Amino acid sequence: MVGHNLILWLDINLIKGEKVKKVIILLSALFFSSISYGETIKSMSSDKKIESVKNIKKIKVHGMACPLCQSKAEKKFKEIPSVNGVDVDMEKMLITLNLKKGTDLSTEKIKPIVTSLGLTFVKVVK
Amino acid sequence: MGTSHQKFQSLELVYSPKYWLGTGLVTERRPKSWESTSLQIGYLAKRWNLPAAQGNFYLLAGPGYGSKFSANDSKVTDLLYRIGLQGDFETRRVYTFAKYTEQRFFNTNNLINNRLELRIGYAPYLAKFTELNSWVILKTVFSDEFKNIIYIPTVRLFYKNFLIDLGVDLDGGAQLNFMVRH
Repeated sequence: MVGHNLILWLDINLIKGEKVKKVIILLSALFFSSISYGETIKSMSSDKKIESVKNIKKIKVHGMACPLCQSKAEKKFKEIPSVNGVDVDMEKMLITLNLKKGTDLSTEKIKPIVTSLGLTFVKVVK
Repeated sequence: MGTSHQKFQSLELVYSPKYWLGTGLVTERRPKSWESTSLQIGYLAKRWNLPAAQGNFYLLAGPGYGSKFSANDSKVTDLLYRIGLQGDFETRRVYTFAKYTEQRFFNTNNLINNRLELRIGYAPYLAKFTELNSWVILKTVFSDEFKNIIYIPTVRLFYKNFLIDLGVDLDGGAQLNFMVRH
């Protein structure tokens, strides 16, 4: 079930004094590497768009503020038998469903799924 | 050397059957000061879903068992309760967080420890769940047991279900947070 989360949180204050410089250098290296990585992924247009598929449904939502929400939405909608694929656009707050040929998913069925994710259902765009 | 140099460790295991409920076990210790293990229920009292942001307000509570050490090395061990409030507000670029918790002995109501943590963070780039996400976060910790406010500039990296925070406070103590979601 998508709604189930198990979180392990470990908080340790472990290094003091002389080792701090090394830690700062390590942190800086990690951070700037990640920025560089971020720029790289930004330039890669690898999004698997499903616009070209005919039987699609777009759902406008509110509250999707982190990538974890994106992952949960994808996982939850993929559990539905009539759904072939899911694309979540966090910029536009749109969840696009690629439905199997000849199937449909009503707004009445979509609403509680969106709500169970902790998001607010706005409307079905298409 | 300020009290912020003293070691603090905690391990938290949380299971969320619903997005609005978290149940878990928290074990914390500050050597030579106090140690505790408690159950924790986190209830999402209010969520604000905005077009490009989300805010949350949680109530935290739970019973536990712990010890408090005094200056002459004697210690009191008894049942305790842990209560707290937590709020956050985040967009894809900006992250804010506030959490207050305190632990008291059941019988005497004496304070074992309290802690207020404030965080503000910024994401230098936007990434998806399957990509590496990075944040720079300033954590600030207030507690009656520390003489000074502790500032911990932190780098947060998360990739899929794994999150790591690496920070160094201004007095030279490093902090590591590690989180795994399943």
